[in-house]
Amino acid sequence: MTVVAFAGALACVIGMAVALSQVSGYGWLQRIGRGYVTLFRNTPLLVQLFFWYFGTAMVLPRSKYPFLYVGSYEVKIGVLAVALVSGAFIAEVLRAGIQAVPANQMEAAMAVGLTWRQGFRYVLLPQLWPIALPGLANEAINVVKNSAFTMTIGVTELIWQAQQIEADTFHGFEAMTIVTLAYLAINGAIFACFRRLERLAKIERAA
Amino acid sequence: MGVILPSLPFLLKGQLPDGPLGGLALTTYLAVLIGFFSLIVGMVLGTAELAPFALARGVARGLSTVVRGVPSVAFLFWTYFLLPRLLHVDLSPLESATIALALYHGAYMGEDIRGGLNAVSKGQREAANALGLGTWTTLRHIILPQAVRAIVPALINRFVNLFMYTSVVSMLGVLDFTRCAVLLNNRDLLHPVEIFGFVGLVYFAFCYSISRMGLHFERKWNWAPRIGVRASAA
Repeated sequence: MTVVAFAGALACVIGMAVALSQVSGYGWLQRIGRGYVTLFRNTPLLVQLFFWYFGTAMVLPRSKYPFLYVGSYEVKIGVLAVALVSGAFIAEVLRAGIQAVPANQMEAAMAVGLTWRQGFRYVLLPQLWPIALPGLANEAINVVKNSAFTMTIGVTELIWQAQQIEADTFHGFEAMTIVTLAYLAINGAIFACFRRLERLAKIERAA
Repeated sequence: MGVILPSLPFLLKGQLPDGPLGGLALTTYLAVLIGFFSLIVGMVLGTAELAPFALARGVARGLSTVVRGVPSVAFLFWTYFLLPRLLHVDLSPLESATIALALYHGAYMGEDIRGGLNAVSKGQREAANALGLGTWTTLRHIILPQAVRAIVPALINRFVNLFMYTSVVSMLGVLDFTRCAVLLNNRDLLHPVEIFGFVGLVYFAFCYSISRMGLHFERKWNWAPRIGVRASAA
């Protein structure tokens, strides 16, 4: 679950930054953001996990960079890979959301004397949330589901535990049922939260 | 590149002349196979939305919600380790992976199809009814032509996802592209960046070209519904 929390947070930061770079108007920044989103949306997470897991150990060996290996190296790599992939998807959701708000809204905000920051906060964001929230809910659920892949590099997440219980006790059915239900519960909770947020966003907009 | 070139045949087709098909060829084959079956599952789940009974709609929606809430890995382990024991059947890793992923992606495709059908406004169906068209004629000539414009790009994007996530079958030991890369890396141990970088780029090339195709359709069809006599070529 640590993977989910950290990867989710990091993915949001990456996603927001990249989405902003996409609408920033600087050509090179846009191109970098575009390239990142395209690349990471079109390569499998599993391959990325292996790439970072084995690649980092090779390029930054333990002997020279011991601080990288303090605590669980697997978890860190898992967080990094999941966040990079989900960040790309979140960036896409947010970019689509920002671009769905008519450009003249920001222009009007500038025209009445708001700064860019104020325009973003008080004009763009309230209109962005209702559009972007359903997409973000999907991505949040994807972070949870993608975290399951980190078992391939040895992160001891839920399914790994279930496999372990199966191996130790042969109670595979019970373990797997509980793990599956746990995933459903987590994702159901996320979904319900986003539903509520969506409703709040709509109310705020109406008010 | 020095690591990859000698092993390229292995990465591309597995141990083909001497053993089963593997590598990129198997990944492509799996993607097409799973794509086909999941499309069938998706059609059933998606068109259940049009069913006149609330029960059918509810079951289809519930089923796809549950499937989409579980990681595909969990699904894979269910069909591989547990289903055979429950039903007393013997499934090869390849078969159980195909079943699991077809159901899993089928649920998503069902959602895409459902969304596309719902995007056609209700008034269209009512108008068709008012004109005296039957259920089938309405579906064939009124609903589907409009829905298809939303559904096809969504399905193509789904297929990109499906192609990427065929890599999970490597977790069952199926010798697909990813698994071949892992084996190669285990044997070589010195060039993980090259090996996984190369494999990632190949996946990227495939997925990117498929998604460009989706984008093409999306752009081509992204106009307001033109109903009735086709307007002049302009």
